[in-house]
Amino acid sequence: MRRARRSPAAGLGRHAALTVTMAFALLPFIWMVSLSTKPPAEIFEATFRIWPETFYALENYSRALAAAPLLRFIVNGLIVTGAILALQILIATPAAYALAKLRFKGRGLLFALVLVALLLPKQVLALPHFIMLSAIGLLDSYAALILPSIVSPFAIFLFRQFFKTVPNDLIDAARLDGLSEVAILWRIMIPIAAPAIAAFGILSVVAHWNDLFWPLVVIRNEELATPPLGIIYFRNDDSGTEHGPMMAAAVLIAAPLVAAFLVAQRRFIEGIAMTGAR
Amino acid sequence: MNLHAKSSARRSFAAAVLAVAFVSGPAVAESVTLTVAYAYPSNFQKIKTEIAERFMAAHPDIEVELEAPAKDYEELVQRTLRASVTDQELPAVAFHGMHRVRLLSERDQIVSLTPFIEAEADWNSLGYPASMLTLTEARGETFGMPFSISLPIVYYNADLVGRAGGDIDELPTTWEELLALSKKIEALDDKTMGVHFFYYSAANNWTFHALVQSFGGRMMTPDEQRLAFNGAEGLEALRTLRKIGQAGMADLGDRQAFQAFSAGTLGILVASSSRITRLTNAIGDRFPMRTAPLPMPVADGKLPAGGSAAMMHTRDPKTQQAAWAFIKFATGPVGQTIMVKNSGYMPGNTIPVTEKELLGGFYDQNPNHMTPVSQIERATRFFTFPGENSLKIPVVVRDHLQNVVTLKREPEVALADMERDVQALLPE
Repeated sequence: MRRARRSPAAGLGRHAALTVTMAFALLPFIWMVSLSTKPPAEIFEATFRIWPETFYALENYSRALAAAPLLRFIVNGLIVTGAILALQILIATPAAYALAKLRFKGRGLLFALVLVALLLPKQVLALPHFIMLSAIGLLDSYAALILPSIVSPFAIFLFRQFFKTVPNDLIDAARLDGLSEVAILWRIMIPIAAPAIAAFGILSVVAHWNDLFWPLVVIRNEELATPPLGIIYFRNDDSGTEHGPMMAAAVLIAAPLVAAFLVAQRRFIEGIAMTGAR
Repeated sequence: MNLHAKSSARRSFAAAVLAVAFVSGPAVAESVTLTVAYAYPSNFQKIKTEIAERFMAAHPDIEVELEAPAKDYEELVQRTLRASVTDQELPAVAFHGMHRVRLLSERDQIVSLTPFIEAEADWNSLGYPASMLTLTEARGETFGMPFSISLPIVYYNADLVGRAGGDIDELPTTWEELLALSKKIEALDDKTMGVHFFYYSAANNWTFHALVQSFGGRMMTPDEQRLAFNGAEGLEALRTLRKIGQAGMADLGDRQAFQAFSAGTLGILVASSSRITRLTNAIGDRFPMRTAPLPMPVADGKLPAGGSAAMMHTRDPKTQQAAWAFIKFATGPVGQTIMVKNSGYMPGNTIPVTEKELLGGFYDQNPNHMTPVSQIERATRFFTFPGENSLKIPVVVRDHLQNVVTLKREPEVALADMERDVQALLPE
């Protein structure tokens, strides 16, 4: 029925509008890929050109891979974002379940605290986190990158909203069948919440993959550095930035994220649509 | 070298003890691990790695570990101060910006190198000019060995100079000539720009210090009791900035100016010699680039040296000996040859410049790199203001400079304002 009401002209207009917005979003990425194939002399030419006159991608990419241990950084990125995401889900789902479905004294207050934590910018906690990690001697380790991020108030909030939509009857029936609360969480709630978890997963991985602030504070050992440090290798305000290799590094660092998003795309959109987290 | 004898004597003593204790089994040479920190990986990653490898090959008992590089000198200083707040171990050696000697030594983060220099049997043969060691001086002691040095110079687009009727082999030596040429370039067509003077994002007002010193002035009196830039030389410096503004310098971000110069639309660029290599690459064969010294209004004008120096953080006597050996290696003929060939900086050691097989040939092939080297006797310590506000004063000064370049304030008025504001931020 709805389809019949849409006129072709409206469809055309809609697509035109979407194409323009998409072009704005994609242009920096196209420019990034384009610059990563250009020799230094072509980057600041007065004329605009997407495809380079001299194809220089091989030089830029090999310089990017040779100058910075990019592969090592990417592996570190996978380890750190993977561990953070797993621990975030492990901690947030029981908390969200309790806040959504269990009745206990102080539930309202606890939820209010979660909302307060949601409002605090990460940087506010940087100094206390740094001093705590230093006190227990964990600076300059994977733990220093992972531990401060494992409790995500946003995940608790998101999952609680999602769990709220699960009918109580379903949970009561499970309890009648003799399932423990833990089993309810693992066998019923988490599978139902898969779209929300996937959506959160994308946001979490992207945020921690691209985080430059915290790794620069706690990491001094090059072996432990995360992907964005690869960009720093080519940025230079003293003698000039090497734009070609820097863009090549940026492409290599963004590639795993783009691949992950393409895989999780459908789930991601479902999750956003269902929980209303925009 | 006597240090080596000493440490190997100690080692053989240790080996003897071990042999007595265990009777059999090979003696294990005790080795030292040196952690080394640096900034600006795009310049120095390759250089530091190569120096570390060559050093370890020559000193098998010392292991050099490079820390993850910091983005710039400011971040490296922050990292150092953060580590000292939390009692983390500092790197044994770090290559800090030379203008950070004062801050790091006042906060007792770096060790004086004067005792090490005095312990050297034949210091004068090692190629360090005495003037070079004053660049990293604080309270009469040397706190760093200059590693990479840059001076402000002038870059010219030879095509635009030619089209404007200038002679590329007779480049301007005074500000009057330079600005007259700039106006001609500006008038060529509506896309060309005359001159850009790099000052806004210059760390610690580097190029303003250069102007004041080129007129024979200084920022403070030698005893640091009174301001000194508020005299005739400082006024001349500001008047020069005003003339640059009047010649049509656009209020353009420095980064945009470098891009415009690389693209071939800017004729004259006053900036750090550290940009020679990257600018040459970014220009390609679009046009020939020439460099020239900064105009020197007085014969004995000076220039503040930018760049980095090797400084020592470690206080452990055994690590210090290894650290000193590494510092001498990195700032000596081998290290400096590697550094110059892979970057746009000048060396802090004279041996590689004069030795044909080291760098002599390099300067013949890269005459643009010779410009800063020809000015080396003008290099002086890059001044930083004393006290807690040493990071705030440059920001205040920068804003007054902008008022002059953009012709919003007369030099006389701006100088008086600047004097008042800087005075208020100095320690009592």
